[in-house]
Amino acid sequence: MILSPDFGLLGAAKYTRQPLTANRGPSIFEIPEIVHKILSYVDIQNTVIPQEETPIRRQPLNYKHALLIHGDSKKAEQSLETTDLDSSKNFTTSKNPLFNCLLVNKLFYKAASEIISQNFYFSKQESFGKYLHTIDRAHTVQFQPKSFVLHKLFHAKQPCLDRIQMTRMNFQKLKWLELYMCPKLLPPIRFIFESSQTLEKLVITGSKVLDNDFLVTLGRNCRNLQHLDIRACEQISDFGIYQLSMYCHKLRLINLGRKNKGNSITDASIIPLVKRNPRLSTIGLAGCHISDASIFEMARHCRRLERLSLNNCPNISDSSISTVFNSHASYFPLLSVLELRFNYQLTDWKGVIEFKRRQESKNMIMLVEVCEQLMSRMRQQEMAMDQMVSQRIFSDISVWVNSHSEDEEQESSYLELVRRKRASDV
Amino acid sequence: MSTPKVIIISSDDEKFPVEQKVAEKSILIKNMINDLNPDGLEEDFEIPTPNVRSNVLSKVLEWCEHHKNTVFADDEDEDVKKSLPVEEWDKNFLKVDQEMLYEIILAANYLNIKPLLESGCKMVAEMIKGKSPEELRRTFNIVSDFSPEEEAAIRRENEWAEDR
Repeated sequence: MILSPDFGLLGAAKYTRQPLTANRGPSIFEIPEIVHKILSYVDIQNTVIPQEETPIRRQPLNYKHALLIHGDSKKAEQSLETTDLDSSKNFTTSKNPLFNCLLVNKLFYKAASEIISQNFYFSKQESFGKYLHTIDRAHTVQFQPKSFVLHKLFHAKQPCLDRIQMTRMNFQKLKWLELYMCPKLLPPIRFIFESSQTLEKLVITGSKVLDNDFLVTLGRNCRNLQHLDIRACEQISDFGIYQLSMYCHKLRLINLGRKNKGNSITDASIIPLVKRNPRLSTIGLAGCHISDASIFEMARHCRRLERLSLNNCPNISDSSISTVFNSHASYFPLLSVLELRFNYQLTDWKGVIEFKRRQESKNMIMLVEVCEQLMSRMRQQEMAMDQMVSQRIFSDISVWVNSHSEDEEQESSYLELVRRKRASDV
Repeated sequence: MSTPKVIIISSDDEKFPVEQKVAEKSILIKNMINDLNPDGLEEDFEIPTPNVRSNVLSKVLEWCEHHKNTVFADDEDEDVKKSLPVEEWDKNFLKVDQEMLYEIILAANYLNIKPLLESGCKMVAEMIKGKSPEELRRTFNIVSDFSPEEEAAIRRENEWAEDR
């Protein structure tokens, strides 16, 4: 048994090894693999990387809208309340026990700092500042992050990231780079160069400085990119997306949603993008000025699409929406969320309604998110469709009833008739 | 002829005859059986485990017996597996005094019984939450090998990690 003679620290001296374990091999806390295993569970049980969750349903716009969606007043009120709670959720775990593990002894320090170094994340300006002060000191955790996440550091300025770039931190294992609502920060190029083989997920939202040049460099270097969320980065335009689409063909998620400068994202970049990325399962184009042509290309190429957001896309029209969403076409077999809020130009909802019914008949959950006005439009058409169907059934029945005698053989042909009718209406 | 048993012998020479299936929850023992009996077991087979005392071995074998028909996914989907909480039966099974828990972990490590090692380590991980470094040392009977200066430096230079 090897025991360091140097344990005259703090209260530890009182706890020299007890004879109970002295003659029995090492304790579990002296075996590096076991300590590492234990601390990796501590990490999983306690580390929460700050991240915005994708809502299952968007919050209703107002009470009337909620009432339309949920049908009764109680549920409508609930739906408005719970979403309020979510948005005020605080991500930071008050105290991660891994930090205390650093101070236990050298073996614990080694294991804990190795685990801590895998995930670099800050959601508080103050602690980020503290970190930057100690960045080059001997006992600061040396990061080799798999994830690098800065969350809502609204006031952080570029010199912070440049300073990190100058350190020994390396990005060769980086898979996930996120700057969520840090409007003044642009990842230094070294981040991208070093992670070119590994980077899969990039989230930079609401950035004032993210530009096309960055996207071009990103595309050329990081061809394994699967997840690209650059919502509300208004400097990004067709040029950057087009260039990216020349190199990145493994995308599963792309989000370019925006409130302003929608006219800088058009068919010119979206068509080549969707053509070259058949694995896309989520596409977000809220506020972009794409036209029907993009929708047609998506329908042809993106067979795996599950989520499509087209809120507030003024240039799409009935001509694409009522054609690709249609019970007879077989586009978008996996689609389960379709967002079409604020597209007041859309008047023909028959296709979408049929599409929703088709998905539901396949036991899929199909959510069509629309705003209040469009929802009442859709409900009206739905009702008209139902009326027409029941009228047809009624007239078929009356034809049958009036044209036949009470022949028992006719029983089966009546069932046959109804079956045929149903099949043709679905 | 009855099927041959595997007889596991503890460090204090107690013999535990068990079904082959039960013994083979230990990858160490499984490999030993296969290496030394390439044609399958024909007679009782004795395996000494000089690192494991009888009271620990009997606990470990109780676990193996309970899980003899459990199929543990041994795929490498580590992150998913790691994040699962300890299974209810294992949790109750491991409600033993600390010394015993540590010895079970040691034995599971030595005998290479991964799912038991995992459950044990998760139980210890849960004990770490909410304890100061001093409390951790006291609880786990660990001696600090830092100089006071080193400890102060680590504390100072990692303050940012406390609340981010």
